[in-house]
Amino acid sequence: MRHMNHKNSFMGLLAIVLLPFLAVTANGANPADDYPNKPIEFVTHQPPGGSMALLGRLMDKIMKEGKILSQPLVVVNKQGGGAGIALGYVYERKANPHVLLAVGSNSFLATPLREKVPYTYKSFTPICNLIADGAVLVVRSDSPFKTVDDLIAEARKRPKQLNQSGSSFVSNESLMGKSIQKVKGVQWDYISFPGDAEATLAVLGGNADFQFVNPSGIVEHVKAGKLRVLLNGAPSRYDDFKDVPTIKEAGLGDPIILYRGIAGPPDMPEYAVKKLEAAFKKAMGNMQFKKYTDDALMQTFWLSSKEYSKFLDEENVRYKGWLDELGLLKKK
Amino acid sequence: MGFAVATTLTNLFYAFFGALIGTFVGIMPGLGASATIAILLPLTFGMNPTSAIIMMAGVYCGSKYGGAVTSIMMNLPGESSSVPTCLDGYPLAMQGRAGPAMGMAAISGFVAGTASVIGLTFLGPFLGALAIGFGPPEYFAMTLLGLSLVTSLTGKSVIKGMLGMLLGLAISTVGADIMSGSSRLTFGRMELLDGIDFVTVTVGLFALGEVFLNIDKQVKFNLIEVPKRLSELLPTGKELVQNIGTWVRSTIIGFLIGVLPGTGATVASFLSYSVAKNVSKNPEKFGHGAMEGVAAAESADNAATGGSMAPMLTLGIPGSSATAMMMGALIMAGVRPGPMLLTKSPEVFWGVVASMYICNIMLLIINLPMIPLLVQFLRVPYYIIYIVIIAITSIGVYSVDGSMFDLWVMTLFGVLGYVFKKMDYPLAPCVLAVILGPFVERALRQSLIMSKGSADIFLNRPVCFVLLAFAVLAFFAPWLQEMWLKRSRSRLATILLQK
Repeated sequence: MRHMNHKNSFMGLLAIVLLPFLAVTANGANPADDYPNKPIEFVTHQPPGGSMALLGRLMDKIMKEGKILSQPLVVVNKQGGGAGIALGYVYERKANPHVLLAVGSNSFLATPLREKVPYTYKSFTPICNLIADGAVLVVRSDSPFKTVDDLIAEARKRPKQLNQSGSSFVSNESLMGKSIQKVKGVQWDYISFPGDAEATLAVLGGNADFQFVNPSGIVEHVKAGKLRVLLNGAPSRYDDFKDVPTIKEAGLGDPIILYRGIAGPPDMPEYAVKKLEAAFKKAMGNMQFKKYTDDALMQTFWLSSKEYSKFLDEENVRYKGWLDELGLLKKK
Repeated sequence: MGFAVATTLTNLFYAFFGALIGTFVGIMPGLGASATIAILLPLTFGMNPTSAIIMMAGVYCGSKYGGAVTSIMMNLPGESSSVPTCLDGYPLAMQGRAGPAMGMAAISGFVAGTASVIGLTFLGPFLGALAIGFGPPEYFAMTLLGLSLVTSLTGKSVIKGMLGMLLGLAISTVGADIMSGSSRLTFGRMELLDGIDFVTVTVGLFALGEVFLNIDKQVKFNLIEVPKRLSELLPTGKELVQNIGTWVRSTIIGFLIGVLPGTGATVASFLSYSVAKNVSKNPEKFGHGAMEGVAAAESADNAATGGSMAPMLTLGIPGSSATAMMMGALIMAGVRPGPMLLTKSPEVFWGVVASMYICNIMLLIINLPMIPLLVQFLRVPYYIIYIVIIAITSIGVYSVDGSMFDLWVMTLFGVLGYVFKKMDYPLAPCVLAVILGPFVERALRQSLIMSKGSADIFLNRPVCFVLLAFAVLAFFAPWLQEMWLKRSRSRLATILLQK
């Protein structure tokens, strides 16, 4: 009897000891089922309060309420170095499915082209694109320019006399101005301000002739009759400015648009990409997201992982061209 | 109507909550109003927009009050606009008058903050026009005026002050040039691409420099005696009355300059400090514990809060990063600040204005009784205090960007601050140049692009010209004042002799 007891308890003990190993092999066999099993970091190069950080929190809220993902999205701010710090951070977390990069196409493509870093945009895993953040061309309402053609004609008459205000000179808005100058063969100067708001102030105060700017910054001024919109630099027309032609419609080349999307670290597992792609697509359909983009005057622009990858290839060629012209490509 | 909004129980709670957090945050260097508001932003998602902005305005006002506390007690400026407060506040603390200094700061802040809200009430919509009219040439003139104040801050040796200023200007150039993108003095390091944050510089130079100096002097126990009687813990009635003129001047300066986006509060507090010094009967006292210095700096700083809300609310143009965050919160809540705000959602504007009145009162009530408590901190033996200072400064600097590199830079500046003090170089000119340098350079280049290279632009624009004239005046002010004093004293002597 005693002998039997010992044997039973031994087997029992063995079973208990071996059980965790069973669990581990069960996990290892299929991580896809378990994903995500940790909070997912949503890394942005913007400081707290930036639009991508807000988007991250909004997405987290939507996904929690809609039970789209089983884990929360945690916004991590890694500002500095023109997105370099954020890019480096995500790059170092190879194959980690719980880290995401909030992508602004401008800095995402331009920084590796300009700075000595060990990665390029291709190192990362594109997941999807969510938003197209375009810009519009505004002048003061008492300006003599009633259409964009007036502006171009004046620029042709007085080369390098007109002033475009804007934020960083490598911002999309600046590049958009350069692109039009090239297409039409005219020249004007660019005055750089610390932010879009100050640049708008310059136009309002008559210190600059026009500005390319994100529409959310100026829509109130347009409604109050202080500014006039001449041109639309987005894929399609804005509801608020139905009569304003897009750059393509006006025959002024291709607009340069800031695309906001999501990417993952290098070698991100395929199952993670697929799951996230589906999750974000679902979240985009949510009313709160639509309200966010409407309020911020952004246009939704969905690209799946494969489409996004191809899209980035095309955009990178364009960015390389402009940076080359501006003399900003890094020396080999 | 605004008061009806502001005095609802919920809004009062939010105002109090914001003010309390703001005060605490103001005490921590690096963690400023803007970062705090950003952190509180998600809380505002579900909130009524008026309540949200009332809370944030509370944080904003509170941070100014808190910033004065560490400036006075530890020579640690909480924000760039608190730097002039250190110049006289800390010496006062070392003379055993930390309580009166903080009391003066709180009372000045209350008077100026309330006055600026009154200004916002009546002038709000018109201030927008002021902000619009200020273009790059005016900015250049104004920031140059700020730099020309160097001569008023140098103490005995002007040459040393100028050298400090030039060093500060050099430091301010570090980073990627905003106009051309080329990296300057970055030594290939990505962390330096955005320049050296002034918090790192100021905290290192002022606070750490002082710590190193005290270690060198082998200070072990309390630096000073802490008075026990309440009357010695607050400014005397005489001192309050003496400073009414200072309050009026500084409030006007702070309010008007605070309206201007960008430099606002910092230029305002430095400028009003200098003005106070130049019109004072005892200018030599400044830098060694003049109450007027604290009064001037703090009034201007708090007056600037009211001023800076104006362009944000009426134009949608934020004047500082804190107001930019507030604007973000408003937009997320569906209220769009700008020219239409007064017509579409007046309750937001007036609610904010009313709550700022209330915040100022609340902050005075919170801060004054805290003074006897805070002052006890100085009784702690120095060998404990300095560790606390190092800890607070490190946390503050680290919180700016989460970077260890910044801490090394801060230490470097601490050593530099120690060297400065040992060799009797004034710190203020260097810090002023670090803060204003980028603005001056950028404004100059913007103006020259506008004028296509011609310098006429600075002379043809009336506001710019006037400001430049003031800048020249301010630069020579100390010598002019000396001449004036000499003449009036010798005249007085002649009259007396004749009698």
